[in-house]
Amino acid sequence: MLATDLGAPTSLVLQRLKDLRVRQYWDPGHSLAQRLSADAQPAQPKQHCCEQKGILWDLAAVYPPGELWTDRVPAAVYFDGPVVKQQAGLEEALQPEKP
Amino acid sequence: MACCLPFGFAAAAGATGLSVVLAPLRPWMLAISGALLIFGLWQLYYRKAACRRRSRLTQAIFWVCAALVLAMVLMPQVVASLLADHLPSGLFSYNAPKGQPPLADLDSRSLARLQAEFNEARDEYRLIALLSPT
Repeated sequence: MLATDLGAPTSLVLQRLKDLRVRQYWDPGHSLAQRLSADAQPAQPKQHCCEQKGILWDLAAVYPPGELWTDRVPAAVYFDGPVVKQQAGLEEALQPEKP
Repeated sequence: MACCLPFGFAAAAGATGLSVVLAPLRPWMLAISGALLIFGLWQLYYRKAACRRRSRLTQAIFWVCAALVLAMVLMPQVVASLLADHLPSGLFSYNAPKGQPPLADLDSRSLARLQAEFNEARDEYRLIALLSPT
């Protein structure tokens, strides 16, 4: 969605996410973004930004344990961007639920 | 441009070099490079009245840039390999960190794989981030 988003991320970019649980994809056709947008459910928070020409970008979504992606992507408990400003919100959303 | 702004030639070479990294824009970059060089050639040698300070340096820059652009047009893979050998590693490769699966283009098949991985981790929180590649 930036003017410079013309090619897949190079190693220099990919190496920024070193966690072994991470899976990195290059999505030139915005297929995942379109899927997340199309499958957005009422129970899911509405993002405050991050949509350009109907395509989501620069956004983070958190899905709690137990939710399955079947014919639709489940409702996220956290869904907002830009990612760089979401650290506090993401940390809170990723806290295990207290009994 | 040719006499006062030899950087135009460098821009031509730069556009060509950029086309190595930005493969989808390669035809456009090469076209821009060619146009800049043709314009420079015209000013440098055929429109002499406009070029009162045609120096040897300007001519040298022009011909070096012309050679670079020509090499990029005729032997793109050779030039890309040379650049890859001499530029910082990682600029021309697409390697995920060690231990992660390789970077995959997202299409219907890999989207199904992502869905499967998402569901396999059903006991954990899952975080999807849409990030710019740059």
